[in-house]
Amino acid sequence: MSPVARRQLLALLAAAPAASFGIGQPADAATWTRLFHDLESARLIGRTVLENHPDLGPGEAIRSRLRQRHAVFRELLADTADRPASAVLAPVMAEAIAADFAAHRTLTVAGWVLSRSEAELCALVYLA
Amino acid sequence: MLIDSRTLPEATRLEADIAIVGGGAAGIAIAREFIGSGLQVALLESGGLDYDNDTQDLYAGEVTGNPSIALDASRLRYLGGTSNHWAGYCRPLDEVDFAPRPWVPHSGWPITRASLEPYYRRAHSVLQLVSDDYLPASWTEHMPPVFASPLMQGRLRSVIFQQSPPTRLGSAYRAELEQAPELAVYLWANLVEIVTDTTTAVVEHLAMACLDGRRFTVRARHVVLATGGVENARLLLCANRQAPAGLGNGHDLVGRYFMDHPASEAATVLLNEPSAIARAPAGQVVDVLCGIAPEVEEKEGLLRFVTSIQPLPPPDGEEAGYVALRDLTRNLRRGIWPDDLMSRLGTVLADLDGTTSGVYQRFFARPELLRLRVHVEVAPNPESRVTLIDERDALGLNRVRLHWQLGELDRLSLRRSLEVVAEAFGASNLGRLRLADWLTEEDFAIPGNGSYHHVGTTRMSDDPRTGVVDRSCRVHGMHNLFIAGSSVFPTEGLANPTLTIVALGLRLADHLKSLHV
Ligand SMILES: Cc1cc2nc3c(=O)[nH]c(=O)nc-3n(C[C@H](O)[C@H](O)[C@H](O)COP(=O)(O)OP(=O)(O)OC[C@H]3O[C@@H](n4cnc5c(N)ncnc54)[C@H](O)[C@@H]3O)c2cc1C
Repeated sequence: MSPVARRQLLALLAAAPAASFGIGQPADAATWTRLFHDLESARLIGRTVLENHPDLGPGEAIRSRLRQRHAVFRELLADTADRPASAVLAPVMAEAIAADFAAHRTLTVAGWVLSRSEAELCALVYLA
Repeated sequence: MLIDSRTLPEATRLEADIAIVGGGAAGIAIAREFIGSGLQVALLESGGLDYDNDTQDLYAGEVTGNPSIALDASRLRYLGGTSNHWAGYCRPLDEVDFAPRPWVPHSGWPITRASLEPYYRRAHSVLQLVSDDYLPASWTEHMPPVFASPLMQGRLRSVIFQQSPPTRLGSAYRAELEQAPELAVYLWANLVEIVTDTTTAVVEHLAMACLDGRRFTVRARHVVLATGGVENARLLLCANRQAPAGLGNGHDLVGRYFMDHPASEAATVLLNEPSAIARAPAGQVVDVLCGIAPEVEEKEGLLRFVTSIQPLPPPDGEEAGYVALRDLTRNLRRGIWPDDLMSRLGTVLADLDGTTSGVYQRFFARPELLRLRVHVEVAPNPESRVTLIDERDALGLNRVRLHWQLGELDRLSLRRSLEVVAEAFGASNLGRLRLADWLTEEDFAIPGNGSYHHVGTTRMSDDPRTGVVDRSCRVHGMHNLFIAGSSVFPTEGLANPTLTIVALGLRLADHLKSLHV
């Protein structure tokens, strides 16, 4: 990740209402960075996810579904728990997303067939 | 012997043991089988040795429903028939295609794949195919790496097609047709009426006409209609003087259950990172497509499906829109090219705000963007049909309307099959698939022209209430009228039809020989 993009990301997170992000502290930006590399893209996708699937519900419902679905999200989205180190997150996330695809847990967003978890994470980023 | 029918004395009455109407792939394959048999065969071909406008016009008709190419463009009417411009892709039908599939209404053939096996083998030689090996494992060194990858060992499968030169049967076998003493090939000879006895159970003679007005008849012990998937139905329906609904049409089945293979670009796959997986190896000798594993098809209730997976071609030029878009995106990203999948998706999704997808396609015309072109089975549908219309051709025969109607299963199956492909790419963390816009509409038509395969209009069944011909390809209720061609297929599978047309033709030839001993 280039420093410029990182600056953008930090700026974006600083502007976001921390509580609604469900992650909160700017320190966690690194976590999101590992997930998305480009938060602007994630926001764009998240907006389209919610436009295409308005029934996905408020952020809390999305968060709770994500937590139930994969252990990695239970930790990531927990309000208080210790959060995993960013370095280990990316491969675990990839596994969770792959598991979604293998189990036909997908959402079609503007024609893209996305895993439910990645689509919902983007929606959370947009809602933040 | 080749005979120009226009030189026959007016009202000539020809006789033969077997009359084959139509000198295309089926008709020629069958006729050749009688060389050395001692039986006299008349092969009656509408056209000459080359394309002729007036003859071709006899094929004109209407098409409605799902997009399909004009009837006088999807077929050719001279010796060799449509094999004069076929592409040569060959594959036998699979065992599953012959079995009744509970999720596909009207599926199931009265014969098995095993019973066709010896004929398939011989059909390969008729169509000059160098191999009849369709096992992907035999060809891994000759296929793009994606097809030899683990991706094709889960829910996806590599599906092999062999390539005929492509054999143009009219020219490839012309010398044989000319020289064989048993064969008389009448050119410029159009069947205009199948005339039966009063019971309508026996073909009494064939009324023939040339475009110059000459008329003659052919009497034969057995008659084979081999005029192609639309024309076979047309000629039965037009034989309505003695049987008002047309011959073999006691149960209103003639012309119904028409099927083609919709073929269209249907999706793109964005790979996570540039990859060589889809590049063709040097010296590729077979065509390979991606299908769905049979157990997944069964579990999910899918029709047969294949798709090509190919890199999008590079842009042909830098149009203003493309350049503007590129600059805009570069600015947006402050000079940083998106370095992972999500960024790329974001860029593509931004397109929703109005930039044309064509421009975007060019923007992403890079090896890591793959194009998927599907070729799929449709379910037999009685509403897809060939019917006669009032307009007549130069010989006085009613022209036809071909109405091709997609059903719910066709749409669900195509979408779901693409999702299965998407899931496989996603689960392997290779990339993400985007469905073409038309697929996201509810009652979508499948763009394109179809595949010019005319299947199902005189379907085969042991029961005359559900089929026009029996397992010997004999028209139910008739003693001496047989049908050759893809019109007898009850379902179409995922394979192109001509190899099976020829195999069934060779089988019919054997059957006819057995009737003459
Ligand atoms: C562009 C194109 C590409 C294709 N590519 C492939 C492919 O890659 N693989 C594949 O398997 N298939 C392919 N096909 C389909 C293939 O060409 C047909 O399946 C095959 O030719 C059908 O054989 P047939 O003998 O039943 O009909 P035809 O080959 O059409 O022959 C019918 C014959 O009947 C004659 N006839 C018609 N009416 C009368 C009449 N009233 N009296 C006397 N004679 C008559 C015609 O003149 C013609 O010669 C392709 C078709 C097209 C158009």
